[in-house]
Amino acid sequence: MMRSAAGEEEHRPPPSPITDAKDEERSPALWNHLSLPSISVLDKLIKTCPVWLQLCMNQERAGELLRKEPAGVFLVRRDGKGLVLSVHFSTHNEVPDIRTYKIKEEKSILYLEGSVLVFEDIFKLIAFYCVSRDVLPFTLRLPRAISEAHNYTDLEIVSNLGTGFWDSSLNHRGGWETGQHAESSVVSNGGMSRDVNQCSCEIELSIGNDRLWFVNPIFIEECSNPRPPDELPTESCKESSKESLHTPVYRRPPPPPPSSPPPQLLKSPKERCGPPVTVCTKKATFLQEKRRELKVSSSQEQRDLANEELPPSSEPTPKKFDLPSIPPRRRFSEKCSEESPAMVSKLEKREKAEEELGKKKHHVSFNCPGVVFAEEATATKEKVNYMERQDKAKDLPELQQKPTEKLKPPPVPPPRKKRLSLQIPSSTSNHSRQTMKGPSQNSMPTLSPVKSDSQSSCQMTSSGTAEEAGSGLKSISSPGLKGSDGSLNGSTGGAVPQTPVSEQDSYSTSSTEDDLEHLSSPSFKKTPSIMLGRAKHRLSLVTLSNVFTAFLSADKKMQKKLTELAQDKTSYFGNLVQDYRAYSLEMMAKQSSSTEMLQEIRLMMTQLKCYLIQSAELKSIIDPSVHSEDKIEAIVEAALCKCVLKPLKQAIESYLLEIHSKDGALRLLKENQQVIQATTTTDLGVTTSVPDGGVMEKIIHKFTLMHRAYSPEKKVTCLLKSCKLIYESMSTGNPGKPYGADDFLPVLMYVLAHCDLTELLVDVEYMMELMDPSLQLGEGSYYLTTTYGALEHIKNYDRITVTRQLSVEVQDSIHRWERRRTLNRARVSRSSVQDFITISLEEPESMSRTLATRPDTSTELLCQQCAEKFEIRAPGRYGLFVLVDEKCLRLAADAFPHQIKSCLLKSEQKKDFHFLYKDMNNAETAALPLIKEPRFL
Amino acid sequence: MTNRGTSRPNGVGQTKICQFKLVLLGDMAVGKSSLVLRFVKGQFDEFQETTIGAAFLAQSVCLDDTTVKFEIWDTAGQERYHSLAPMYYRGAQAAIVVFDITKPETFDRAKAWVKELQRQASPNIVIALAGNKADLAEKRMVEYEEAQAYAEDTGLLFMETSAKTAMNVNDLFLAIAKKMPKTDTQNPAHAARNRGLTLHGTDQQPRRGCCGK
Repeated sequence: MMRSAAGEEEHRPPPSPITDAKDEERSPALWNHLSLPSISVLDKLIKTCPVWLQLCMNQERAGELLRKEPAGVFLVRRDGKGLVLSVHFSTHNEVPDIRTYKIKEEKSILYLEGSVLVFEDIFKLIAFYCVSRDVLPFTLRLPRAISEAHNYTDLEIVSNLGTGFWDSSLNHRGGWETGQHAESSVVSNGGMSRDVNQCSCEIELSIGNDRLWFVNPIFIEECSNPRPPDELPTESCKESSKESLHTPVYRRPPPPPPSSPPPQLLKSPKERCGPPVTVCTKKATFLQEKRRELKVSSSQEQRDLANEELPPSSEPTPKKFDLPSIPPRRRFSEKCSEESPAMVSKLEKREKAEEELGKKKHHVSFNCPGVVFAEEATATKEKVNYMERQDKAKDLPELQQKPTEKLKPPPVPPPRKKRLSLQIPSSTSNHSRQTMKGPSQNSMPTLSPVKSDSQSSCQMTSSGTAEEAGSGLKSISSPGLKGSDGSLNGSTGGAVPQTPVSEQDSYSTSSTEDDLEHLSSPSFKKTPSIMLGRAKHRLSLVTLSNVFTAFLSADKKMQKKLTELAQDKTSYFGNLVQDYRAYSLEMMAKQSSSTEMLQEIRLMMTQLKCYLIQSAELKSIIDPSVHSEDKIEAIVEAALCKCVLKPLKQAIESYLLEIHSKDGALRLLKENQQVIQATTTTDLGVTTSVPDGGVMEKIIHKFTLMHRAYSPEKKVTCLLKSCKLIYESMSTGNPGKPYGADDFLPVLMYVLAHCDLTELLVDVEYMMELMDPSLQLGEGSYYLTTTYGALEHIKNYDRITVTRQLSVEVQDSIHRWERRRTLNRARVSRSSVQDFITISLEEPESMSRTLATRPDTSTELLCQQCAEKFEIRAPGRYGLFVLVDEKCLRLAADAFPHQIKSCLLKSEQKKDFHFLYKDMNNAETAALPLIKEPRFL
Repeated sequence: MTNRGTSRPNGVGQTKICQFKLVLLGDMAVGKSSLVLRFVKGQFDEFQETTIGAAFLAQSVCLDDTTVKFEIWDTAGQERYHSLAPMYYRGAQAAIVVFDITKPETFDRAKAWVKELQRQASPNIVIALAGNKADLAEKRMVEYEEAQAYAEDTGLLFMETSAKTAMNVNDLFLAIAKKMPKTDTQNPAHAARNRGLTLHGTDQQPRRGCCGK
């Protein structure tokens, strides 16, 4: 639930007096964030569970593996009937010692024996102990190959090795920062790995008074004791904490997404999850000032934390915090206003302390008021003081009334992903039966209770449902690879295009009018708008007569219908679109060439278009008397842009950035941009006037609009408008004189050198490769080519002056561009429309892959593909199954999965079906009926 | 694909429309844009498309029952931008290489362009050589015969033109338009369609047998 609340916040970061100042610093880093996404500990754990979750491994083998690993490295096994955590523990290079901790399961929760912290699933448990030691001698440690992985591909490689990872070369043991870890953690007892930043676990703390505390590190951070500690009733806390050891641990209702949520959702917790470290640090500093007796432990911790936190870490994680989405701030400010002025000054102090630590940190604030926050409960400490506020107790009973104890299977094993959406409903149930208990008797959690009024609990619930509904959105709208990967894996739920929040609907802004409105922002005065009026007139002529036909209402209606069809997962086309998207996300992750990547996507769109144009589904929508063939194509293209490109846009952009930061293009552009900015206009070959400040602003604004648009055509329109502005400024002082390329190109170079070249590069490629190949002739094509040329020229600025030649690669790429535009079409007509089948390994909600198939692809062939994709070592044992409304059938080797899929999709009664790739050699599957023809379904 | 649609509902009557990409090459200030502007402005407005600037112009000419639409791509003549030229002539079905008859160095440059085009552009590209500024006969530095002989040797169309007086401007484009289908019937670029326009190769004779076969 907290997850949900915060998740919702992500989409509308409320303003906060405290965080707003930081937002400014953040924005520039966004790009970096996009290009260097990082992965949360939880995500990493989920992705790599085949490595550390070894349910079948015996103790000896585990010991043998772990002994070779540094301290803190762990495995989870099954011992007897329960899970155990085996950790390598060694003190200062003494004899390796493997310790085993029992993981207790009770109803839907898990906890380490001896600990009062409970978790929804094994992943969260482990993630927590990677961050905080609680009852362990130190925090758990991920193998370096995992902790340092920056992308899912790396994790997948690791994951695919399974147990083999431990003995593989990937598991570099030489590179451990063992010493540091072992020492710092043992000595400080608080050792937090720096991955702590990414921890996204929610923690439940229980104390004796029948309450369960549900804690999220983010709140831990934010809610660091806002009251002077001396006010806090420490006594009672101590008592209750003792009691709790003997009291049964109370479980809150089946917690939110247990098991293994698909990454798209995992991402959000991480993103908004401020490093608990910070909190603690802040807190520690704060307390230090306030409370003598705490000094020793706090300052010690502070130091450790500061050490851990400070930059040397090469992890890109801090960037996460540059996302504006993290801090759910509203509550905080509320709180501030409610509290006494002393409170405010305290906040300021905290801030100061934070600055002293040299960290740019985030203030995250209360967001989930129904919950009492425990601070530091997780992370610490020998010295314990509990502080509990009376009002908390007051609030609890009411919350406790909520129905709880929904039975839920133990969230533990199948190390496979589960559909998060399935689990979300439970997350909306209350988790407000708060109990709090220090992680160990002598830790020092400070509570900062939060008022929980009915309004706030309502909010929680509603946000929970919102998340459920929005789970699809998130994966799409979330920036960066993470989101993409998410929607990819969650191929069923994650990919519904709905309305990505961050994307503007380019069709809603596609008219010239709208654009003009944008333009008439304060900085533009009357005169330009008159001029623009003319421009608009002329441009609309261009657009109408050229490719950018404005859609009339009938067309709009049809486009809307098509978009709906594409989003309708029960329709064949909708299904296809969804699979195409999933497929292209998978494909993109593997591409190292920007053009190839974009071409794949374009090809895919063209295929979808071909399919739709020939399909019966379209025929039911269109009225041939109203729409000409060309019109239909245009409308289909526009609809496809909306349902395919729009959701993919951000992923595409971040992959492009990744590719270009790797190939050095971005660096070259940046360097030469400065060179060109320092070059005189004469040296650039400019013979006319260049745009002045005001016009430059307008041009930059156009480019911004261009960057935001997802439709290549719309982007081109923006580009043309920019060029138009350039022409206009060229003729100032010489009106009416037409300028050709001799004059235009140098001015364009000059203008581009004053714009965001990174965005431009991405946009130009996006347009060039994703534009409908049949529409690429014309003015748009000319200016696109010219802009591309100018960018290449800037990129190779120095070299060109010397050699007067573009690099061979660039020439080559230009060479092929023309051909590609036509080849694309040829390829489509040759190959019949490709289709996709999403196949899960073993269980419907587990790891799934989207595979390309053709109508004539046999089960046998598809099985081969599956074996490859899932890296199955004994493919002979596996077979393809289809699960239709709970009934599982095995596909005969010569059956055509594609036919079966079509049949299922077309069946009148909508059926819920999943294709599974399963082990056949067990009693359960061996008995399943074999089918060949779809009619036997 | 190339054979699609003999007439479109939104085409011009029963006329076939063929669209070609024509690239302008030549040294700076030889009058490339002036030449094209003269051509474009001299035509009926009916066939003229408004464009945002003179670097890209579109103009149709009528040949019997065929409308030939030229998309004219201008290039920057500065030496420093030479390297970008391939982006422009790639895929072009026609090129006009312009030089200034009063400046012999521009003729040399034109020869270099022709060479490059013949080496690197589409094999069937129609190349026309234009000796511009023919109105400045008194300053002539490149003899008509010299250019004419060169054009014959290399298989180019050749005309001396004057953007100022409009001499030979339309004729040059018409000559190119006439030459297009003969030399270029199979260009795959014809498969590309503009919205409302169908591109297909045409033969000299109208109507039948023209569809790129």
